[in-house]
Amino acid sequence: MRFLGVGVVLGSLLLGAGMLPASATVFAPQRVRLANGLEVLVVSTPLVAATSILVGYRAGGADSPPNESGVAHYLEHLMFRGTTNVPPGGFSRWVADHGGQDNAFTTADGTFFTTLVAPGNLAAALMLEADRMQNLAILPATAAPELNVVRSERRQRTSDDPEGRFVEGLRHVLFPGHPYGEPVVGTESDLTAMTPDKAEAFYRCRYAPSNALVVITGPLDAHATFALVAATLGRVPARPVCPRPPLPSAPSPVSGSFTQREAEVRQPQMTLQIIAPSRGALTAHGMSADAWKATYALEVVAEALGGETGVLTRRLVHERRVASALNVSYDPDVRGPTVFGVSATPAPGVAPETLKRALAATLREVARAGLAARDVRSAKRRLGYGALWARDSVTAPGLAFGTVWASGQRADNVEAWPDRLRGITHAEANAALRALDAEKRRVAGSLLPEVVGVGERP
Amino acid sequence: MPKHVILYRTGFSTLLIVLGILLSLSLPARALPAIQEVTSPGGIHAWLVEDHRLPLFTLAFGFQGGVERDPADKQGLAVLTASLLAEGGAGPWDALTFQRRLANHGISFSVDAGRDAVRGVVRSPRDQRGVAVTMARLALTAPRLDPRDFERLRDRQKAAVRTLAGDTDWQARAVLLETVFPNHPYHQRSLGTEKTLNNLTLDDVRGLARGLTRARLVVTAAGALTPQELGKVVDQIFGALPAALPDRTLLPAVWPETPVAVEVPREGEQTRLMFALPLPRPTDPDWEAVEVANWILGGGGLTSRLAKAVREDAGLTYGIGTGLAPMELASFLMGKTIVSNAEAGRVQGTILDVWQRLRDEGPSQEDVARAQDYVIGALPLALTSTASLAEGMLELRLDHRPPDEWAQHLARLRAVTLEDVRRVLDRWLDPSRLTWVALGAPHGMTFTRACTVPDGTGPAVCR
Repeated sequence: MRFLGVGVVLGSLLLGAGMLPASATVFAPQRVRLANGLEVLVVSTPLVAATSILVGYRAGGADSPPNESGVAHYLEHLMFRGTTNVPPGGFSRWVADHGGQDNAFTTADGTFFTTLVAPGNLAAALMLEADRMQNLAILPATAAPELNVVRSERRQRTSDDPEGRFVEGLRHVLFPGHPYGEPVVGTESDLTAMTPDKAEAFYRCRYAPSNALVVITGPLDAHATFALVAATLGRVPARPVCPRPPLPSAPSPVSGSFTQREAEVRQPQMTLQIIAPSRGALTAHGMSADAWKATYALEVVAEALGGETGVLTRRLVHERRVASALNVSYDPDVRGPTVFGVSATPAPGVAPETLKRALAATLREVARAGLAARDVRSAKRRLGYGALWARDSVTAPGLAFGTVWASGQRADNVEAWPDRLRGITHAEANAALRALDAEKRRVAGSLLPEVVGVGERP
Repeated sequence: MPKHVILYRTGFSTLLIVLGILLSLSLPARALPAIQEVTSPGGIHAWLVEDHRLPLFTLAFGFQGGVERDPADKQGLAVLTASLLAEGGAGPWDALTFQRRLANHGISFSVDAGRDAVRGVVRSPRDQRGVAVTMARLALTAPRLDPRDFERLRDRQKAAVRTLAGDTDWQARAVLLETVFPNHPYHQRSLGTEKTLNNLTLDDVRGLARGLTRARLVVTAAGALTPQELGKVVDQIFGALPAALPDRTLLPAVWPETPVAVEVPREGEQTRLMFALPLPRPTDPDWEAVEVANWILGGGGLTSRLAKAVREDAGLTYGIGTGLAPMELASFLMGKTIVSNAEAGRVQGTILDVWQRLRDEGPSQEDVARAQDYVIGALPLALTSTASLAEGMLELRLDHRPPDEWAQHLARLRAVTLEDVRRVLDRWLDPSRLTWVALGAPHGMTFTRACTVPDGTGPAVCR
């Protein structure tokens, strides 16, 4: 199964989603909380013959006990290895037998299980989710090979992959001593010391109805669906949940730059990563209305700077031609501190160092001069159309509600998004951009070929 | 309710049955989408799945013939041409203005060159379709092709070539294609190499763009458009394209008689294994039985024979699977996995054993039924957006299939018998015919050839 490290490419789903200008909501879910504490959202979508289920737990990589990094992700794997009722692999087998797809992913903030089935198979799928929420069987015969699978996954995605190593190293420099600096898949040494018991303890601690969210999307009648959820997941007994260890705010990076040279890399990549406010952290630590608003303003700024036509793309790709591609990312829906990232590929013949300086300098110029009113307006408009397209998908609602909820916010904050964005003024966008430019906690990352290139010093 | 619930405890399955009945009473089951055939006033034929519940639509178009047509010394031409059409500006608008105008109206427009076709997608809110149509028409009939954009997008493509060159999946695949199609354009690099990209000129791009004619065009759409509206839209976008130009014909790609085992030495902890063998075309009566056999062998995710043996029982890999690659002039099955260097030979042995045992003993009736259930059930689940509908229909049309192909395909799948699967295992899926590529420092394997790790500058060097 996949794990999603929160890495250099921090594409927020909601950056791609967005608001519908004509409507104040995005997915318009129906919502209930069951007696056992489970939160349930149902989204009715036309156009599809499929039902998508997302079950999320507020239990992610950053919730690992000390020296147990990777335990959340290992448990994610074990959730497919059988229960007291279902044999190992039985969940996937049942889904596959019905043409469905199941998968899962773990982030720093949560673990998410996704299943796509025909509407007629929804009840059975929920029954299986209810079963593994309470009856997981972690047996040596399956848990030990599964740990090898996880180690192999780590090798494939990180230790044997130059870009994977770069992302992991960059996070470590950006968040020194912070849980967000640890890889979600686990460090090599923690995985070596990992045991099935640790995963079992994590399961007992955090997999309970009151720590879970289910989002069901499809051609559904909400009331019939609530009845199904009540008859399945609603029967899972309530259990106490261990408190989530609080996440500290972002420390100052030890170094302002991180450079990695790799023999296999042919194309240099540069990124500027700046610590930025998140809505999860604001929810946890209490917030001022201004700070809350600034996160929406930064989403507008990210759209105005990047993309095909943003200000940075215009200047660095089209006018100065120091980059051949540029990408801006900002994900406000995480529980701890987040990152505003500007990543770019140097144009041929341009020394990486030149582009590195140009990224920071151009961001500063734009922050000082301010974004034009027209650019802010057009960014808001572009973001707005995203929500219409997000509705043309059976999986987008689950992912949007799941990530927002796992960050500690109310899931239905997603629905307030269009109004919040619409309310951002030109002045507020520029204030957010100036605050970003003033932020000292930042790291300039460079992934470079081992061979010294044009204009570079060794 | 599903027959396989028997897997689980009785009380459990009784509850499932009760719930299933409740649910099936409360919800309508949707069958495959109904495809309408539309002929525009200007005579362009299109397929439509009409649905007005969301105020948007996706229109997909394709031109037969793709990167396979790139001259050997100009590899990368079709991909660069597609980028320039989509992102190089058109009519009165330069590249940036064109992109901003699309985005500000909630429209996306893309063109991509694949092996066998140049494909494009227009996605637009219903009430912005006038703008969408104008911009798509201009992109195809009056692209700016400004030298600055040519340089910019070629530079971006070079960067993509260099980035890909560091990707082990790409490296192994490049060696595999060069090994099995040495004399056919299918081995060519879609993005080109730095050298072939330097050979390209704007005249090459103009030439390729002029060849995107109505004779090669297919169009599909899904979403909030009536047949009359779609007729107008396709006439406005494509009506001005030239009718036809002579096409280059391509020879079928011939798979090598003797299987090859290629070692690609690379430092690191892991070996990437790829293995492949030739198959019949999807039009062959054996195709659906091959799909079923592939699902049982390696296509069925964690439940396949290969995943069970290599991942679930032995924990030797994070992933192993096989898939079918039906191309216009050649079809093949390709499998891949990543294992630690020390275990490469052992995993290869396991793959061959599991595969041969499946061939010798044949699958069970239950295996075949499960595979059919999956493949039949999965098709409607893949059609969950206007984009997947339009693009799914486009593939049918590019492959010259009828509008009821999905239903026919499901019927053929349902008709597959255990004997059919045994026959195709015997006839097509012989593991001794596999060509292997092992990229890494594998232990315990033997090879007939060694190649360098391919980089972005040219083909791998083999001996």
